[in-house]
Amino acid sequence: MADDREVWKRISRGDAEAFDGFYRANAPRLQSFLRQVTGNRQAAEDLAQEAFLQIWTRPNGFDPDRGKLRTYLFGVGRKRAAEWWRKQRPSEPAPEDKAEASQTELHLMIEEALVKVSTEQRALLWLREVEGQSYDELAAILEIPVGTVRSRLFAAREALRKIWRTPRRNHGGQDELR
Amino acid sequence: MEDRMNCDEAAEFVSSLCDGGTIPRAMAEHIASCPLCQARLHEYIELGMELRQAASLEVPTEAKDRVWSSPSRGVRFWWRKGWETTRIPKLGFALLLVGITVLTSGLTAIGVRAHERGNVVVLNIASKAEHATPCPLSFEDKNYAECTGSFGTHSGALNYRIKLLSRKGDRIELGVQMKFAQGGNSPGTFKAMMDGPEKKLWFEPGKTLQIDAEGLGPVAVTGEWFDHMPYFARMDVEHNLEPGPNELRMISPILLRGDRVLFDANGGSASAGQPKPAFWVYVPGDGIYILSLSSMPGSVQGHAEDNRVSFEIAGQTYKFVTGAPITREEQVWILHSPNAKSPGGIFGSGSLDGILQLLQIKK
Repeated sequence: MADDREVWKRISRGDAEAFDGFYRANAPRLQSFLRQVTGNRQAAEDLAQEAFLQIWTRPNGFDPDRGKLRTYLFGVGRKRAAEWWRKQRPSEPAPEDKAEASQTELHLMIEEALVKVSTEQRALLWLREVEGQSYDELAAILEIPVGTVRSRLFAAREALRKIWRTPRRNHGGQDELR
Repeated sequence: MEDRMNCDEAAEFVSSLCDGGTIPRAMAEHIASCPLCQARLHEYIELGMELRQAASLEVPTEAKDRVWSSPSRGVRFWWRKGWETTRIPKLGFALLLVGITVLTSGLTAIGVRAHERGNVVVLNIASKAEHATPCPLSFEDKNYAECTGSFGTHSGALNYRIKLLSRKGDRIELGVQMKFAQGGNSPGTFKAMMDGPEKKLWFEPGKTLQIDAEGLGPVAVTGEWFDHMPYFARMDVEHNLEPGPNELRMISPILLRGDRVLFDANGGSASAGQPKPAFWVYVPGDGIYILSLSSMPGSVQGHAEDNRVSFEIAGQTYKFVTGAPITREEQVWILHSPNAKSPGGIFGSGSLDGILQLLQIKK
C-alpha cells in the first residue's frame, strides 16, 4: 500500500483513482465517527462527503511531515461536524436517529450510554477506542495539547463508566466504585 | 482514607495505562496492589471492548460509489473547465483571457516593494506580448501556493503550473512546468503538463524572467509584490463588473439550500453569452442544478438581483450567491435533476441546449 506522502502527491495532482482509493478506505469509518458526533446518520453521511470533497477540491492543508493523512481527514470531518452543530438552532435538539431493528441489545445499550456523554467526550472515546488514534493524533484532530487529551480521555471514560454501570446495577451488577 | 485519596490521584493514570502509557512508579505500585483501581482498569478495558464490538455493527463495510471528477482549484482551473467541459467556443475563451490583460496594467499602481513586507506576488505570464494572464502567489495563504492554468495564443494553448518554493531577500524561487499544445488543448494535455518535469528558477519581481516553452518560444514572466491579495487576482472577472446583455456570469458561486452550503466552486468561475446561456453545478448525492435565462420543462422560476439568484423547489428556499453581478435579467429558470450525473467536473457553463445534451437530460 502506498504511503501517505505518495498518496497525497497523487491527490494533489488531481489523480481521481488515488483519491477514490483513499475515499473507499476511509469513508465508512469517518462516516461512523461523524454519526457518533452528530447523532444523525444522514448528517454524518453529508458531512463525510463534504470533508472528502474539501480535501479533493482544496488539497492544501495536509503536511505529510506532521501526521497521517487519515488523521488529517478526521480533523477535517470533526471541524465540519462542529460547524454543523453551530448551525443547529439552540431551541431544537439535534435530530437523533431511531434505533434500527437489526441492532443488538448490547449495541443499543452502548449507544444509549454514549448519547448521554458530551459530544466532545463521545468523539474522543470513539477516536481512541474504535479508531485507535494515538494521543498525538487525537491532539492533532481535536486541536488540543497532548496533556489535555490525557485528562479529557480520563474524564470521558469516567463519564461513560458511570452511565454504563447504572443500568447494569439494575440488572444485578456490583457497585464496586463510587 | 489514604487509599481512597490514592485512588483519586491514580484514576487518571489508570486511564493512561489503558492506552499503553507509562505512569509514575508510585502510581503503578498503588494500582498493582489496589483492588478498586484494578476494577476501574478492568471496567475501562471492558468499555473499550464493548465500544469496538458495537462499532463493528455500526461501521458500514463499503463506501458509496462517488464520482471524483477533476477538481476546480481556484481561478486556475477555470480554464481547464473552459476548454474541457463547457461549450463556449475556444475563441470566446481566448477573448476573455485577453480581457484579463487589461487588468494587469493596474498592477504597478498598488504594488509594494518587497522590503515593505509584501507577502503576495502577482506574476504576469505573457507570450510574445500577445496574451497574458495573472498568476497570484502568496507565502501566507496556502490556497495560493501555486497557480495553474492555460491560455490561448495565435497557434495553440500554453499550459502552465508555477509553484512558489522559497524566498531570499527580494528574490523568489519558482517551480515551473509548461507545455504548449499546438492547435489547442486536447483531453490529457493538462495532465501531461502536470506530470512533466519541473524547472527551478529564481525570479526578482520588477524584472523579467524569460522561459522557453517548447514549440512556442520565449514566455515572459513579470511580477510585482503586494501586501495583500488584490481583488482582480482573486476574482476571475473582467474589468467591467456589469454582465453584458444576454450574459450569465457565475463568479465564484456557491449554492445554498436554506442555510446549508450545497455547492462551493472554491473560487472557480464560469460564464456564457450565447443566445441561451446556462450554468450547471453538480452536487454529489443531489444531482444537477441548471440555471438558465430560458425556461426549461420542469424548471422553476427564480429571481436574480445583483450577485444573487433566489428560488424555491419543493417548498425549500435556494440561493446562488456569487462574487459579482450574475445577469441583467430579473427572471431566471432553474431545473433540478436529482438523478443526473456529472459529465466530468463539478460545474460548467455554455448554451442551454448543449448543456442538456451533455448532461443527457431530456428536453
